[in-house]
Amino acid sequence: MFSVNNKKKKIGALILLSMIGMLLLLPFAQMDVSAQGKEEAAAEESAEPAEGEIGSKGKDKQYGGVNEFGIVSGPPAPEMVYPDSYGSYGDYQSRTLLWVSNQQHLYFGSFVLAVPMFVFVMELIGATQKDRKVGKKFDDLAHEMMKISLTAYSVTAILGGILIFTFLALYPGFFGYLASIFKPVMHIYALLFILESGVLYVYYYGWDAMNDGNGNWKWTHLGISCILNAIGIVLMVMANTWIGFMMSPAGVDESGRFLGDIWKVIHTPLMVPIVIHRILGNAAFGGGVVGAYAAFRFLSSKTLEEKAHYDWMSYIAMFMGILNLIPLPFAGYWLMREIYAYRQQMGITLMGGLLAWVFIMQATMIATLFITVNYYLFQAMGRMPGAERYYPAFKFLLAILVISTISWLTPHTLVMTPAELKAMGGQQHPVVGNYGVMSAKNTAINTMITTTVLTFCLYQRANRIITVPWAWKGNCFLILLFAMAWVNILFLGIYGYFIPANVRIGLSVPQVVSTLTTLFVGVAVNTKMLKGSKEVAPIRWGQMSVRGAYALFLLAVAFTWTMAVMGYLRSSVRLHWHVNEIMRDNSPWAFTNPLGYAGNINSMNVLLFWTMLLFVFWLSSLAAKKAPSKVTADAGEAVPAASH
Amino acid sequence: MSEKGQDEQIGMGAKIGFFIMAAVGCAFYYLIFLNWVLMVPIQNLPYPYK
Repeated sequence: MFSVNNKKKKIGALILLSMIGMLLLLPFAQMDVSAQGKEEAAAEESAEPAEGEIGSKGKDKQYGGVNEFGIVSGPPAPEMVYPDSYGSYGDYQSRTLLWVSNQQHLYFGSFVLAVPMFVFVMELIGATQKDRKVGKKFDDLAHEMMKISLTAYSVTAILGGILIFTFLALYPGFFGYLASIFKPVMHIYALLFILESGVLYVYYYGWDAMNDGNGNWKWTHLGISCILNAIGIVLMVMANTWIGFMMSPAGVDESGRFLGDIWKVIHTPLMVPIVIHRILGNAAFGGGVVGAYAAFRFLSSKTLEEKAHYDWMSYIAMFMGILNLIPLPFAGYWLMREIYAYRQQMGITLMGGLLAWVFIMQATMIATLFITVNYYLFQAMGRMPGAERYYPAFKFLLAILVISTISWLTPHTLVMTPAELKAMGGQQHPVVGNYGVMSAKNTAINTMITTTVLTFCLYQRANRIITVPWAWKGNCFLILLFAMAWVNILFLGIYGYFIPANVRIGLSVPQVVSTLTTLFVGVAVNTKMLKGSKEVAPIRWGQMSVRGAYALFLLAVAFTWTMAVMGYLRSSVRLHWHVNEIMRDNSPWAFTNPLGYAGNINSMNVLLFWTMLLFVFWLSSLAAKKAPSKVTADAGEAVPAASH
Repeated sequence: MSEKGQDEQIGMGAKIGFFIMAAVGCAFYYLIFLNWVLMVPIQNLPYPYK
């Protein structure tokens, strides 16, 4: 490891690092001085400032009670005038350009945030394994995942730069206002980014140097991983507070004057659910992308050993993705509930009005995700000897999934000609229309998740023979646990049609808890039953069908497309506002883009992202390749490497 | 011991007894505990940001 001779160098490096750290803190000191100066200046002015002027008392737009008033600390939001407050490249929609750069940055940002989370878990599993061979396998996997993330990290930074320039060039007025509001924390964001880069490089390049199996250095390395993830999450939370502020501004008065408390600006009504939803979404998306990488390497591998490795890697990545996908709809539901609580009209625009069709698109995508996951597991069981006994169940599981999907993506109302409308007797179809309401949709998604959990339980026991003495009781209990969960989910779904909407909303909670019970209790009992079980034969890693690998691509692309379409939805709900109810969008592009256009831009975004990502994948595989050696018999001396 | 061996040792009465117990337990948990016990406090929760 590190030699004793290097001790002085180490101390020197630490001192240098501390000095750099101190320099990074300088802006904060500066901030304090300026704040003091302002206070002194305010104290010198004996006259009471007029209403709305800096230093006067302002009423918070959102907060009530003891937090209702604050001291006006900034100018009102400027009124946007076209073309003065906007930039443009000819007649091209500035918004679309911003949309694309935002989406690309978000994709890569999500990816580089999610991967270190997985890597931490993988490395931790590796370090805690008693069998060091298995431990090393997990450790190598974590290292490989990190390698992909490192290349993507540079791309994220470049895209972040492009995004800032796009903002400055096309929306200078809006960006200036947002920067003035978030001024106290914007530099912290930038500084954290530098810190994250430093920690990331130490973490990645120190991997081998600190790899002593499960010794002290390994745990120090894991500690660095914790710091890396903490910084990543804080960075993401900070970026999310900007969109939270744009949707549901707080900490400012009616005209957008900053009231001096940055925490209120950060802690807007929608901030917490947005953050939770995004963390889970990013993690699920990250799992999907790593899964696709592994599938790509699996398909292109030449040797069975390599195929086995990437087959295993794709399974682990898929599993991590799904682990985060399952709670995602519930987090989304919570976010929607908070949107309704914040502004009912906003909720209606989303789910019952202008943007309702986007939810149908989302339903299609999420149903695709769940069907694909099940399909992958069915395919994966093909390489598990002994799984044959579960094959007959697949068609029934698939039937449940398909029926749920059809029910889920049935729209409430259709766009029709007057003749069609007359023939149908109204906007809502007398039979099919019943499946267009939340009661049916909640039932569908909960049924799908429960079915996925059941498929996973079957997968867990596919190549095993259970030997615990209470096997019969366990099986009986599991059958009842799942069957009764389905009964309850269905019962609550039907019951929802007979009660008022405000009570119906509450029904989703026991429905969700039923689903989660199968997940936590069902999987726990199943795992317990498998303890000490006999193996029919080992899993034939590397013999996964090609269709299974392609399913992982579908999974990853579906994740990407869902993110794009839901991003369009969340952003569009502000309608003609830059900052909801405070700063109006007066550009010619303030209208809501039609679905067809949004679909095209989203698809283009997905294609662009995957093209760039393929490049990243290719780069990662390039690093592992070596040029064929040209060393001849007489080349006994060491030769320096060729310069480049 | 194999699964079949276990099956032989458990009598039909015990099997039915366990099944009924488990069914009642699950039904109680889902239909009574979740739907009723959980629902009551949820209905009376003060809503945030109202």
